[in-house]
Amino acid sequence: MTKYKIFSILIILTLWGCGNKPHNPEKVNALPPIFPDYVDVTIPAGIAPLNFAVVSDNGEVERVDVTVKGADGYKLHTNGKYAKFDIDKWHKLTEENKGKTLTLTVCAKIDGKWIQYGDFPINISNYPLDQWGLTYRRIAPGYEVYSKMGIYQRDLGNFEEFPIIENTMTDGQCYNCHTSNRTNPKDFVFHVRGEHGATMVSKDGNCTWLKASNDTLGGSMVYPYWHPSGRYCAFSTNQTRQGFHISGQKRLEVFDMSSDVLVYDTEKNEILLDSLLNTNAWSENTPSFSPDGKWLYFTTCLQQEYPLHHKDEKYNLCRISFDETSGRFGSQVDTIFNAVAMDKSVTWPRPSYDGKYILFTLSDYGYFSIWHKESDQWILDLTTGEARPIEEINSSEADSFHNWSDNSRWMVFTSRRQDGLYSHLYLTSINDNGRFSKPFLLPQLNPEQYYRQSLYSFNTPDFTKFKVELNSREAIDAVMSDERIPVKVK
Amino acid sequence: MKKETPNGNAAKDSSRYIHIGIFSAIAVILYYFWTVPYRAALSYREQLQLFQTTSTYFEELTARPGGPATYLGEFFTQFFNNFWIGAAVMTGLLISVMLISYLICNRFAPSAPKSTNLALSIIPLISLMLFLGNPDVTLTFVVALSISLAGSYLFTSIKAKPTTTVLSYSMMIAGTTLLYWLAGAVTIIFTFLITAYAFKANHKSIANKIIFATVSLICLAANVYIRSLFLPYPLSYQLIGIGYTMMPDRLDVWQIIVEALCVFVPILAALFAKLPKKITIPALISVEILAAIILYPKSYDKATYRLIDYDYMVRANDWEGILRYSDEHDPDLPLSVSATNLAAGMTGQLDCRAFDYYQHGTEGLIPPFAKETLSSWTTGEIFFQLGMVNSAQRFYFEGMEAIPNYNKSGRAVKRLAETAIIRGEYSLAKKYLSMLQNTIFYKKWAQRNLDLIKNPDNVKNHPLYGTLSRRMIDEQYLFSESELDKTLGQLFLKDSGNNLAKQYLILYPLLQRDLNKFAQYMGVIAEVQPKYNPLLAQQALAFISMKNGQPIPTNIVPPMVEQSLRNFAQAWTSKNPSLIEPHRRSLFYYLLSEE
Repeated sequence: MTKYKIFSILIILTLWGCGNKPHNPEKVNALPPIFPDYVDVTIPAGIAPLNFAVVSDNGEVERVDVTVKGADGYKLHTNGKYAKFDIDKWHKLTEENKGKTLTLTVCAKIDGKWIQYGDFPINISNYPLDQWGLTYRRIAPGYEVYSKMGIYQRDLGNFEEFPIIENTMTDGQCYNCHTSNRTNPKDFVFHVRGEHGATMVSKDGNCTWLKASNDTLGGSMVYPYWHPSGRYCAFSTNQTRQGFHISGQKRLEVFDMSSDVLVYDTEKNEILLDSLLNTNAWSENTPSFSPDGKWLYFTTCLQQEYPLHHKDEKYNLCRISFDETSGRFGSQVDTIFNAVAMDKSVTWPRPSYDGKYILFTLSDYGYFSIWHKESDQWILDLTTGEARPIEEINSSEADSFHNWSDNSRWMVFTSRRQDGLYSHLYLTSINDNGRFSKPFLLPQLNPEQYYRQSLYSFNTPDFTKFKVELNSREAIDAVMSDERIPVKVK
Repeated sequence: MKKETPNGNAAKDSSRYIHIGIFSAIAVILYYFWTVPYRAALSYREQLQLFQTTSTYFEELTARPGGPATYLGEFFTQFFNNFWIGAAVMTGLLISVMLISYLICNRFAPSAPKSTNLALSIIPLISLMLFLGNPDVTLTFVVALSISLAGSYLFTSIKAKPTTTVLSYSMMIAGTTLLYWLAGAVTIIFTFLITAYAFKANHKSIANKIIFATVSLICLAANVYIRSLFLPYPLSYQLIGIGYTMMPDRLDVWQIIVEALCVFVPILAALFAKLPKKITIPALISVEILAAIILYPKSYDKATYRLIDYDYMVRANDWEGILRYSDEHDPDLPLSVSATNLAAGMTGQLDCRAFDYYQHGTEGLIPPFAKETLSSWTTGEIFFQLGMVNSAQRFYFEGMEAIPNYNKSGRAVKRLAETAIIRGEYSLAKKYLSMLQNTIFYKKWAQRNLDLIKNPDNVKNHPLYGTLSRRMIDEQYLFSESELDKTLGQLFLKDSGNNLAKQYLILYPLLQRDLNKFAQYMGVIAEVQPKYNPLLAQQALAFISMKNGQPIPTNIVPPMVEQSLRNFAQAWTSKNPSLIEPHRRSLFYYLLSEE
C-alpha cells in the first residue's frame, strides 16, 4: 500500500514537473510581450540581471521558461512565474560576452498552453560602466504635500538599495538636490527643505550644514553642480511657486518668482556672485561646470509675470567663463543654444565628462520638465555646435532629468513612459558616432511587481562611483539640531 | 486533591455560565457601540491604509519592531470597510484583551474569586476603549497589546510549573526579543508583568528577584537600542511604538494609562485576593461605571466625531443622510458646512435650502486647500462631483500624502483610478487598479474597471465616467482659489445639465455678498435656462429690488417670498435681537450681517 502511495506521489510530481516545462510549445512569429521591454537593449557587463515578466492580455501567464545563449554557446536557463536569473551566472555570461550578443528564447504557459515566441537579442556593450551604482530621490509625484521620501543609492550589480537619508528619520523633512562631483561622492551635497532647512556640503566625509536660505541671495541654494576641482559648487536660488492645471492633460507647473546663479567656495565658506548671473530682469537657473572647470553653463529666461504668463517662461542655454584660481567670472555671457528662437525652453544642461557633448532637456516652456509630457532629451555636439533630439531614446511621455557616467559612455535619465505619471530610471549608452542605444529600465528583482506596486517616482538620478557613506544618525542629529553655518557673500 | 461535591460542581458550572454571560453581554455592547454610534470611526480607520495581500507588503511591514502587529492590525482594519464585519472584528479583539487580562489575573491570584478577577479585567478594556476614542489610534496597538498580554500569560503559565532559573531567564530573554519584534513598544507590559510575577513568587530570594527585574529591563533596552541602529525612525518613535497611532511622533497619555493598567490590574488581583467579593465586586463595578461615564465625553470628542460622521457619509455619497444629520446637528465647521452644501446640491436643494444651514462664506462651499487628509478628500469630492476632475485628482492625491504615518489609502487610490479613467489616462488607471486587485474589498471593483478600460467606448458610455468626462472644461488655465466662480460658470456653460455647478454658481456670489455678480451669473444661466427661478434667486431679486427702492417684480417673486422679506426688514430695522433671531437662517440676514 505504502509503495503504491509513493509511486503515485512520484507520478504526480513528475507530471507536475513536466507541466512546468515547455512541451511541444506552439511557435508564434512574434516577439514575447515582456515587461520591462528588454528586447534589443544594450547593457554593460556586470549589471544586475534583466529579470522580466511575460504579460498577456489573452490569459493568465502561469509559467515562463527562458534560455539565454551566449555567443560561445554558454546557456543560462530559468523557469518560474517570471524570468529570474541567477546573479552570479548572469554576471559570468555578460562578462564573457562583452561586445557580443545574448540570444533569449522565451516560452510562456498561458492558460495551460505553452507558446514559444521569437528569439530576441540583448547586446553587451564593450564600454564598461565603472560605477558602483546610482543615487536618486524617491518621492510620490505629488503637488505640495509629500509623504515618505528620501535619497537612496542602488548597487547596479545587484538589486540592493540603501537609504542615504529618509524623511521618516527627521519629522518629514524634504531632501532634494543631491549631487556628487563627477560621480565621486567624496564631494557630496544635498538640500533640506522645510522647518529644519539646510544645505549639506560634505567633503571627504566632513559634513557642513549651511543655512538653507540667505536674504542676501534672495533664495535657497538648490540645483547644485560641483566644479571638477571640488573646491566650488554652483547653485541657483530659485524662488519656486507652483500652479495647478484646472483642465487638460498637464497637472502642474513650476515657475520661479526670481532666480540667480551663484558659486559657493567650500574652502572660504564664501558665495561668489556676479552681476551677469544675478540680474533682475532675467532668471538664471540650473548651473553646471564644464569638465575642465573653465566654463559655467546655465539657463536663462526673461522674467515673466507668473502664474499668468507661465507659458512664456522659456530658457536659453548660456555659458560664462570661470577662473578657478581667482574665483572670478568672465565679462561676457554666450548663448550656446537658443531655444527661445525655436519657441522652446531648455533645462538641466549636463556636459559629458569627456567634453564632447552637452545633454539637456527641451520642452515647450518652463524648466520643470518632468511635468511636461512633451519634454525630450536633446544633445548638443560641442565639436560641431549641432544639437538634435535624441529620438532613439525619447518617448511620448516626459523624458527629463539625466546624468552621465564617469566615462561619459552611459547615461541615466528619468522617464514617465510607463504610465504618464510615475518617473522611472532608464539607462542607455552612447557610441562613437554619438548615437544612443535603446534605453533599458533599471532592473529589479521582480520588476513587474516592483514597478506596478510602487507609488514613487525616481528623480534626479546620478551615477555614483562608490557607495555614499553618510552617517545617517549623525545627519539626523545635525538636521534636527538646527545649528547652521551662515555663508559669507563676497 | 480536594473532591468537588455535586453542589460544588453545580456552583462552578453556574459561575462559568455567568462569566460566559458577562463576556457575551460585554461583546454585545461593544458590537452595538461600533455598529451604531461609532461606525464612522471604523470607516475613518479603514480609509487611512491600503492593505495589500502581497509578499512585498508583508516583508516591508514585518521588518520593523511591532511590524507583525501592524500587519495584523491592518489586516483586521480592512474589514472595517463593511461595518457589520468590522464591528465584529473590533469586538473580538477587544474581548480578547479582556479575556487575556482575566486569565493573567487568575495566574496572579489563583485563589481569588473568579468574579473579582473578571471585574478587574474589565478595567484594561475600559481604558482601551477610552484610548480608542482618539480616532487616530490604530488596531496595531490593540493587536500589539493582545500579543504582549498573551506573551505574559504564556510566561506565567511556564513559570507556574517547577522551573529552573536557566529556563526562566532563557524564556524571558527569548520572549522579550520575540515580543519586541512582534508587538513593539508594548513589550514593556511583558517586562513589568513577568517581573511582578517573579516578585510574587515566594521561593526566590529578593536578590534574585531584583536581578531578574534588572536583566528583564536590560534585555528590553538592548532590543530597543539594537533595533534603533537600523531603523529609519527617530528613537522616540520606537519608544512610543511605531504604528500605534497615526501620529508617529505623539504620545497620548491614554496609551500610558492603558499600558500601566494592564500591569497593575493583575497586581491588584493579587492584592484583592483575600478581600470578600461582596465588597470588591460592587466597588470595582461602581468605579468602572463611574470612570466610563466621566471620561467617555472627553475621549470621544463630539466635534471630532461629527466631522468623522460627515466624512463617512461623503465617502458613501449618502447625501440624504448628510442632510438629515445636518438637520439634527447644526454644521458649523468648514468640513461639515461644505459637506452639507454638497449634499444639498447633489439632491437639488442647494438653491432653495442653502441658508437653512449656517454658511461659512465661499470657504464653506469649496474649502481652500489644507495639508490635511479629511478636508482634502471632502474638497476633492466636491470637485469630483462638479466635474473638476483635475482638481479632484489633486486633492485626493494630496489627502493621501498627508496621512501622517506615511500610509497609502484604499479610498484615495480608488478615486485616483477613477479620475485617471475619466482623464483617459488608462495606463495610470491600470496601475492603480492592479494595486487594488491585491486587496479583499476593492478587488472586484478593480477587476470591473480593468475590464471597462479595455474599451474606451465603454468609458464614454459609463454613467459616471462618461458624464464627468464630458463635463470637463476645455479651456486650459491654472487653478485659482479666488476665481473659482469663473470655473463654475465654465462648467455650467460646458454642460448646462450640470446642476451642481449651476447651484454653486449662484450661491458663490451670494456667499460673497456680491449682488452684482449674482445678477450677472443669473443672466448667464437665464440665457440657457430661462425658466430657472429657484427660491434663492427669488429672495435675492426681492432683496436687490427693495435695496434699490424699486418695486419687487411679482411675476418672478412669489408673495410668500416678498412677505418674508418684509417681515425680515421690519425685524432688522427694529434692531430687536429677539425679532431678528427667527430670521438668522435666511439669505436676507446673511447679506446684511457681518457674521
